[in-house]
Amino acid sequence: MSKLRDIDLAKDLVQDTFVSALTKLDTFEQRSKLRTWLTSILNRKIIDHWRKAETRYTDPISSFFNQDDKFGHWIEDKAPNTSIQNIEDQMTHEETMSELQECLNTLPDKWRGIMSSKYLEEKESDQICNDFDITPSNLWVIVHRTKLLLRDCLQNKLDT
Amino acid sequence: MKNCQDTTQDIERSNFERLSGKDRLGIRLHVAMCRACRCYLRDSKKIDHLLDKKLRNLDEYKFSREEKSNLKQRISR
Repeated sequence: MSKLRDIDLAKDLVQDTFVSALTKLDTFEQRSKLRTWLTSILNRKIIDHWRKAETRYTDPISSFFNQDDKFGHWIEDKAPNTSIQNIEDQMTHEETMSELQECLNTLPDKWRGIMSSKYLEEKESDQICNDFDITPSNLWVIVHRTKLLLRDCLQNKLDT
Repeated sequence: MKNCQDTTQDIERSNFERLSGKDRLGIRLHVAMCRACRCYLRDSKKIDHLLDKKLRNLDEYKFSREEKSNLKQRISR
């Protein structure tokens, strides 16, 4: 559940898992515990889900940085101009948290899942890479993209 | 000198692995001159902090008894 942040989707995938487990019950060897076996099917389902979702998503880097002649420089209206450092001076704790939630909701599922593995479950990087089927350099690239998006989203909340 | 895209990426990479001396110096020099990336560097830490607080407060979701029996029914079909 913590990987998906979507209760309905999580329920669906759990159900799918039981169904595929039942149809493949004869291939289950008693070498591992049933729970481990089911968990591994579920994890596979989650990774498949993300892979499908990911192809629909474009890399946000080109909306933050010039990709042409001024290569790699901030696009003017996307450059950080006010620090979100002081967000808590302008908003109550509850407001800050609900704005942050709104921003998190705009992220692709997989990235949101990675962020919650990292911060909520405090998993080690290699564990996260394994769970999400990515390489260590994928991981920090995704964190970079995610923080750009979150930062921009929070900055817009402050401006309005 | 590195551009803003690479610098902000190096800033995040530094949380995962030890950067070379050249890369660390690169960040320091760039940030000293670039206001936007200086802002990013500060905010990156702030976002870590906010996420840490935010995600820690989530309750785990458990299937209710009703949902469990529903699930069982659908599976046994």
